[in-house]
Amino acid sequence: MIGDKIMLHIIKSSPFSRNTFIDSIAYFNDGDAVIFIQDAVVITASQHKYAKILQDLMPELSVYSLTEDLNARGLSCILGQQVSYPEFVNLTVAHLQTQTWN
Amino acid sequence: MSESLTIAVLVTGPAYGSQDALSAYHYVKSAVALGHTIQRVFFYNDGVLNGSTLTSPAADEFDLYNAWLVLAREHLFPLDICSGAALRRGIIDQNEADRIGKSQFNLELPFQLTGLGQLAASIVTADRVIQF
Amino acid sequence: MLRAAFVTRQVPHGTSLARETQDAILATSALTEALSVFFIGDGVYQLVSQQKPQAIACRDFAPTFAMFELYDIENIYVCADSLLERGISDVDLVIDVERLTQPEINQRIRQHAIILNF
Repeated sequence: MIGDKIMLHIIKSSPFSRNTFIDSIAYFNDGDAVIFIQDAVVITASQHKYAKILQDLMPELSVYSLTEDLNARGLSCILGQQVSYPEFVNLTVAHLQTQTWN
Repeated sequence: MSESLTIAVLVTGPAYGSQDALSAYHYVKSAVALGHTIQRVFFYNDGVLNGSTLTSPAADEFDLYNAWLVLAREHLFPLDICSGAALRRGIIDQNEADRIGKSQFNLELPFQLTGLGQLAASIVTADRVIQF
Repeated sequence: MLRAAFVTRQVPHGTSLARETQDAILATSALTEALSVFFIGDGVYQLVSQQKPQAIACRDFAPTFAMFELYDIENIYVCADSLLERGISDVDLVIDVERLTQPEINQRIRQHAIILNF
């Protein structure tokens, strides 16, 4: 369980106001996981151009969004899986490497 | 999860104004509840602003300063503030205030001024360094 | 596996993050030689030579990259694609640094246990 997966990317900002998500995509490998937290939860919450980009990557990418950050914004996710903070911790444990994209 | 990891957390966001420090706090709280060891929380860049004892949220708002203090005391992990980053941002303890001739200070235990060597130590020894 | 990758992605001077990342790299080099530095995205601007930030009251920290060699920081890479995208592929850089394509950078970053991305 511990470290049996390779890389977890942590994305924090909205793609509508910052380029971080788009910049990070080139660094996603097949089999990686990505968790959207803070304002980045807008990415998985509805259909838009960035959701489409994510969707196209999703066969090879595990996608998570932080429940508390979705709820805080009155959103719920339509792409990937919602996880709470303890599950977020478990993801950082299960993945050998983490990379936070500021 | 049967095995527990040693995790260091790097915080570069202030106590108020961005969500980074709050995210880090909730992460740390969940990590210790799951039995992991927090090696240290290292505050760098604007993260050093978490150390100000003068932080005064409105009465009906979450008191992150106090929450860090309670969590760190309960689970015995250091709250390390990078001294170089802190002094440049007006975060200063009594020793430093005396040394450089300032009449006030705003940093008290369990927050403590340390060097980047503590971050480096976590980078070379922790199982994970999680950045917020 | 190498220990630490520092990925630096900020233009210098507008925020202090680039400079403080450099400080963190130097501090970490005291404890391990198994570290690498990656200048990607806007981070490539940190390497442009002839910066004169004194006039805007900012620290000229670019020359300190030349000290990396003395600190045994040898794995220093710049993203050639980021330089190209920004139209600065042929400007002088402050240090001699290995140019890699974006996929090569991604590959190298993954050789490190701890990745810090600023």
